[in-house]
Amino acid sequence: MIEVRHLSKSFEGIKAVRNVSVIIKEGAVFGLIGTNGAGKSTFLRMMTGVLKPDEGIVLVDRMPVFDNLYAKERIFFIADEPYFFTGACARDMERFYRTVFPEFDRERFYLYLSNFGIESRRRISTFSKGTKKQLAILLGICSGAKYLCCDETFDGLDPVMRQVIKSLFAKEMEERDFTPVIASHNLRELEDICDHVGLLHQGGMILSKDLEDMKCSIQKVQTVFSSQAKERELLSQLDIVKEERRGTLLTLTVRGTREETEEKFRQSGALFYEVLPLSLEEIFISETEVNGYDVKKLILG
Amino acid sequence: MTLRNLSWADWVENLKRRNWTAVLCMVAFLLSVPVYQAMKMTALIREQQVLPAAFQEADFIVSIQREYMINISFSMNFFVLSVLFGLLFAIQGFSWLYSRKKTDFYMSLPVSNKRRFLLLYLSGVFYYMAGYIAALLLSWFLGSLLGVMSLEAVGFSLIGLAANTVLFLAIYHTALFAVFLAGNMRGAILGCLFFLFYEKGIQVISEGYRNIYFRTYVDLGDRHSFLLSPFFNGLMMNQSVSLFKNTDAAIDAFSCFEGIFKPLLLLLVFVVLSAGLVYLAWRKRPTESYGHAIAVRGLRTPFKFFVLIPVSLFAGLLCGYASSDNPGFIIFGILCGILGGHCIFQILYESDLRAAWKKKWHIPAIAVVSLSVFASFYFDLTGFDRYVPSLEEAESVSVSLAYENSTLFPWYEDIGEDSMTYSSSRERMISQMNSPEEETIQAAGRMLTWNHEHYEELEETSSDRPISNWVIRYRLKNGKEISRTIAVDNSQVEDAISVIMNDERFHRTRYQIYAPEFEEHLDEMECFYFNGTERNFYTGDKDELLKVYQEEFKQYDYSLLKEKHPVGILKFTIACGKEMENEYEWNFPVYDSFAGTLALLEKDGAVKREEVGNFLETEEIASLWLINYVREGENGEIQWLEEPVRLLFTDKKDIERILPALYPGELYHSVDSDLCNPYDFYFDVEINYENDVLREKDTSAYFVVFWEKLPEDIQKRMKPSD
Repeated sequence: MIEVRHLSKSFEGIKAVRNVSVIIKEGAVFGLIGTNGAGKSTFLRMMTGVLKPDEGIVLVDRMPVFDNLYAKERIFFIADEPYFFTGACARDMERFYRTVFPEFDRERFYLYLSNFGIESRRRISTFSKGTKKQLAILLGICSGAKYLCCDETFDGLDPVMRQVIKSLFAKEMEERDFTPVIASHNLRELEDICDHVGLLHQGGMILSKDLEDMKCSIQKVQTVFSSQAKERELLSQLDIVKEERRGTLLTLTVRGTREETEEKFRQSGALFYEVLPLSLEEIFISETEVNGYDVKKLILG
Repeated sequence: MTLRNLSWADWVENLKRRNWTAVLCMVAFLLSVPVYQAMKMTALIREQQVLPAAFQEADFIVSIQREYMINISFSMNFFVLSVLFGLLFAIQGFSWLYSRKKTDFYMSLPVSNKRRFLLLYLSGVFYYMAGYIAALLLSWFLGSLLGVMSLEAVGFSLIGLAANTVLFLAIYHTALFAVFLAGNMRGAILGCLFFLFYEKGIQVISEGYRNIYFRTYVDLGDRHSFLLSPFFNGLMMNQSVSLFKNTDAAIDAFSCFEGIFKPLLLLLVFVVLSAGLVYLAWRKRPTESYGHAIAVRGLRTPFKFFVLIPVSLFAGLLCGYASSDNPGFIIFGILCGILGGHCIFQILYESDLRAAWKKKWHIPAIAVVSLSVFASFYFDLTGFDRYVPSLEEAESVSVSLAYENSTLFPWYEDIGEDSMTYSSSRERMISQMNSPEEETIQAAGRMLTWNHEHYEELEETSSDRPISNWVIRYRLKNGKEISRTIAVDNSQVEDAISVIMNDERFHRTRYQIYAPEFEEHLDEMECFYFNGTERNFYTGDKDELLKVYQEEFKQYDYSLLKEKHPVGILKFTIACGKEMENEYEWNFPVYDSFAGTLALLEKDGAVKREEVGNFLETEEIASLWLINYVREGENGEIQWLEEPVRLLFTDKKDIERILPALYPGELYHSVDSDLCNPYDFYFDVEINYENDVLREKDTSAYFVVFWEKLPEDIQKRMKPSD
């Protein structure tokens, strides 16, 4: 578990991260969302021990992470622009990482390399941006580190590759104690990967919740009423987040558990109702509106 | 975390990434030490082999062995390589700190800061040592092949290895400190320059202003040690040993280590202290400071002030040199330096041209400090010129004439060596005299005070005023030294000059005739008496003559110089060298009041009593020309004539009347001419001897003219007609 307590960091008088506290549980994919300049990279760099926080502490499996090699052995950080040695090939990087990560799985690395079609002896500088990111992810997975922190790593990967990586993460999580932490400025990039999401805005964490919990507390229902009186009566009982009407078809986003909501619709005598799946975006809109934020502006542009 | 954790794999990985610097270091050492030295020695040996056999002496081999030994131990090559690689390894090894990408990479790895620092730090030292040791081993091997290697050279070069490694570490630490304080490469390079040259810069600026505004300031060529600049201590260390290449083989080469002891000790202390500081800077350096000129934001303004104050004062000095020290121009230069420097700093700090005029309050603040420093020199606010150490403060004093105008005592020779070494009179007087006599200390103080009170008057003084220039150095009881140079009117401080010249330490330090080694080597010397035109060999008892002369020479002081001119010179010569090929000479003046000396010389036949003080006989002279080069202007000033007045005298009666005004120039210039009655150098004499004299006498001797001793009618005739 990574425990972040009251973390703050300023650069030249500008607060990049302010008083952030969050817990990243093991065995789940943690997504960190925020606009450019929201403090995602600074947060991740403090979390991985690159930067020293001005205030607060980061505990990785109960060990402070800054300048603590035992804690750092459990975290692998992939920066937004991963660094590889000048003139190095994948093989060189593997050799280097082997000297610093005692659990590095060499065989698995070469297996993944061949599966991904990455040449082990080719100079990394000749790789495309996407291939470099793939290589960085493979190195991170094979390092044996428990936590893999990716800063904007998925941005720019094609959908097929995202699915491959996603399944790779799932496989790792199944086989061993593995927790990816993925930061992105784009909500849609994380939609199908994350189990838990944190939203950073202007250096502060305005939301951190399990996706399932969020999904359980908000529902999207399509319905048709026989009369306006019945409709008004039901609507007055619901906590409506969003309402859309197309003819007689009403689409509602409402707060509450699925059971409670279905029960209300059943009793209201609606001609037709159906609970639909919610997108991450819709969940976020509803959650952040509570705090007075316009999430569309924050993360959807 | 211990060194145990720096595994071989770490070294190998580090070497891979820094291989070009390691290779460069190895190649540079190999080329500039064994290869270059072997080529040099081969050329020297070839050169020697083409000479006739007579010149191919064993001494030659010894001398090139000496040269080779020093070249492979201490030389400018080692100095340059130590400085160059100290800077390169520091900057290259830690340049990743300036890149966010690299910092993210390295800092996220499970490697502790201490281990990361030790690995990079030690690999720099390792690459330097590897290059050095490889070069040294090859030098030993090549030296053995060429026959210029010795066991002494092995020991000497190992000492050189230790000393140069200390120099390398000192430079390395300085550069590392600059690298850790900077946030980008530009900042690191400027920081290195700042730390290496700041102290020297301050010295140069301070010396420049003292030279301009402190009229009693004197630079006695003392070699200052540097507390903060390993660059100059290292330079001094290598230079002082390199000088020994040219010394005689008989001198123990290891004696040169006396010269390096102080700079080496300072370097060693610097290395130890700076190591702690460097590690502290590494630990405290914020990771996120990449890209900034200075890593710690709070250091920006102090650093700027520390640089811009001396820079502006230096700009003032440059303007001063260009305008004959005009204070207005100096202030203009200071202000320009501040403005220009401020803009450059702001641009460097912000990496933005538009930032040039930000932080404008720095400009007046720096100007106040810089102009205050300037004012402290200009108005002598520290009282530099006024300060005269009191009797309670002064432990001893050394006094010397500022310019050695006598031909007798300009040098002090080390007698007894095959090749004598000399020290100049002034240098020796200042370093060796150290008279603790209260009277002498007070006399020096009187001269200083007189100079301070009459300085303006001296500036406007005419050339016929009896002025002498002196250098004084006090050694104070608190360990400090104070040096001053002054001009005094001899007639006004006559008593002070006499006290100083009669000081026993003054006599013994200045006149080598009192040195014990002079007496020890007297038997090997020859003695002559020279009266200005003739030189006569003395065959009598030299010990007796020396004792009598030593006693009578104590009269040699200001009152004697003022009243009289010598009647001759006592010369002592000694032959040295294996073939007695070198001759060294000491000259001492003889006055007519030195009765005992003259009696012994007369007894031996070296002097004829009737000839003492008579340098020329009327009968010897066929004719003589008197020449006047000047005229007196309406306001009494001297004007040079376009056509000098030349008068020919052939009448023996005229010649007889003129002769008392003529005096041998060689005798005149033999003593302290600043202190004696000056001759009139606007006049000249040319003597034509009779034919029979030409064969017997040194007719090339030249004479000076004392105008006042010329008969009045001749004086009138010598004046130019209007």
